[in-house]
Amino acid sequence: MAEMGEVALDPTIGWLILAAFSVLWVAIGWWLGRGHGELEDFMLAGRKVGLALGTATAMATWVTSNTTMAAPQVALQLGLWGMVGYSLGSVGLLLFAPLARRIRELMPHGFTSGDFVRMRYGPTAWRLFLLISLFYALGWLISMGMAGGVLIHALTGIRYEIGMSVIVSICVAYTLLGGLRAVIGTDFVQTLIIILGVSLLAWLAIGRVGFEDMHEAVLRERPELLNLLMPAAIMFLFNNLLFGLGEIFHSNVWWSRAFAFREGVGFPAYLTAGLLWIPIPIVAGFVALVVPALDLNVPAADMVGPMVAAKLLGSAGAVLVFIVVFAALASSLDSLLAATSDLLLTDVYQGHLRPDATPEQLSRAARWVVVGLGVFTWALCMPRLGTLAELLYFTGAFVASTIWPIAAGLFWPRANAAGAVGGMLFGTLLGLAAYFWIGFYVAALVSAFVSMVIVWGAARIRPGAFRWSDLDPERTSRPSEEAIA
Amino acid sequence: MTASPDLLRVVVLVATIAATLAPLLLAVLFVRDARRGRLW
Repeated sequence: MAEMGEVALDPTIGWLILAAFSVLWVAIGWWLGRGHGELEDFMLAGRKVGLALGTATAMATWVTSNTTMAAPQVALQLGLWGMVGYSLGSVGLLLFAPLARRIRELMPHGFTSGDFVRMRYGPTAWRLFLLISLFYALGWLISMGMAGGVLIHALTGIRYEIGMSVIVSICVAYTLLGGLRAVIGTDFVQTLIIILGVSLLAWLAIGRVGFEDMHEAVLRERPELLNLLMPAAIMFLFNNLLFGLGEIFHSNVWWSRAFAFREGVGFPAYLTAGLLWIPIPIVAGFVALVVPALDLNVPAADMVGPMVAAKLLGSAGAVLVFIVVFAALASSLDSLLAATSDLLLTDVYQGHLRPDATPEQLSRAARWVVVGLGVFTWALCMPRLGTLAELLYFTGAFVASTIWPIAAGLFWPRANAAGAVGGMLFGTLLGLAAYFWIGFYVAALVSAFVSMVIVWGAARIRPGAFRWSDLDPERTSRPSEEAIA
Repeated sequence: MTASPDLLRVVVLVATIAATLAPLLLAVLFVRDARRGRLW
């Protein structure tokens, strides 16, 4: 990392920035969490989140290490289509808009995505779904914790283990203090920081390098990045679209927001967030294309963004990227901590271990689950497992298998439990096979296709006749005996 | 088939302008919700 050494932040400045923003996030979390100790307030922010905060939280959560660090990485590997492919991740947000409205209508008192799968498809599908969902959540948590450690180390020289520990513990602290209300409140501020930061960096890159020089340098040194027919890049484009769909459709991060948004807000909030999100991966990823023009030697693909910023802006660039990525990581890490804790609390603790737990017991347990999940994430982040994109795309095979069971389950009464179980199971297995035999860029594609065929085929062979009224609020709020038997 | 400088320019400029305007829209929505008492 010799290149970074010339422009790295002084560790003291790094610590000051970390301390300042950590204090800000924790203070917002504490302030928003005051007087809202009830379980529903902690988990779902009182179910009255408005359009502005709803849009910002959906957007901030979806702008994560993907867009700030892995998007430049993908652009450096797959070029123009890599950037555009990343922006297709927004399709997940856009298509979740009608689902969010449907979810709120069918389950006005629901808590988690697990609630839906349990009541819609029964215990086997529920447990398989929980395995997939929790595995994905952990993969995402680890990728963000790692990204935090990598960034802090690269920019300040602070050891990976220490930087990662700081980011994870700060997110745990304010999530613990204010629950989803703290998460959504900090998300709004973080969204503004992220968008302004990446926009500023893009304008600087455009101004300093210019499109002609940038194009010429890429064409000379990495012509494949401008190839509009690069097969791997085109596969990546569609794969990323389906990966994004799978991530959003199944994950409790998005379901918990659908439950938390005020009535009528889910649809416009997700739609607006999706539209605003489209340009972000292009803006964040495009800086990778200035690497040849800047004559940068990139030692690790996931360090492209920070290196370009540091080259363009010196120490100020390092500070800017540091703040932006810290905000992006925190906005996603906190959301995932809160939503995964909800899933663990409602579907694992209450659903499997303590069906008769009182609201007070659940409220106490909710805090312990947040702490426990934070510690677990921290422990898994300690060894740096691989590059960010590799880790992230490994989970693609898992989440894409849930697209059709979820979408069909919400709108199509004929979709049945056998199709959902088979779709998730075989979609995941064949998606993983594609990941290892072909490449990361087809895992979600294969998984979603297999799952679709099985869900559709099962419904044709033995059509279900699901009554939407079975997603009754009374049964939604507490797992019923027969469902978990 | 290679992307031309103009294609690169259009894609990146449109995205950057849209991203730059996004915080303004969020701020407007925030003020509107706050005035109506519908932030939370």
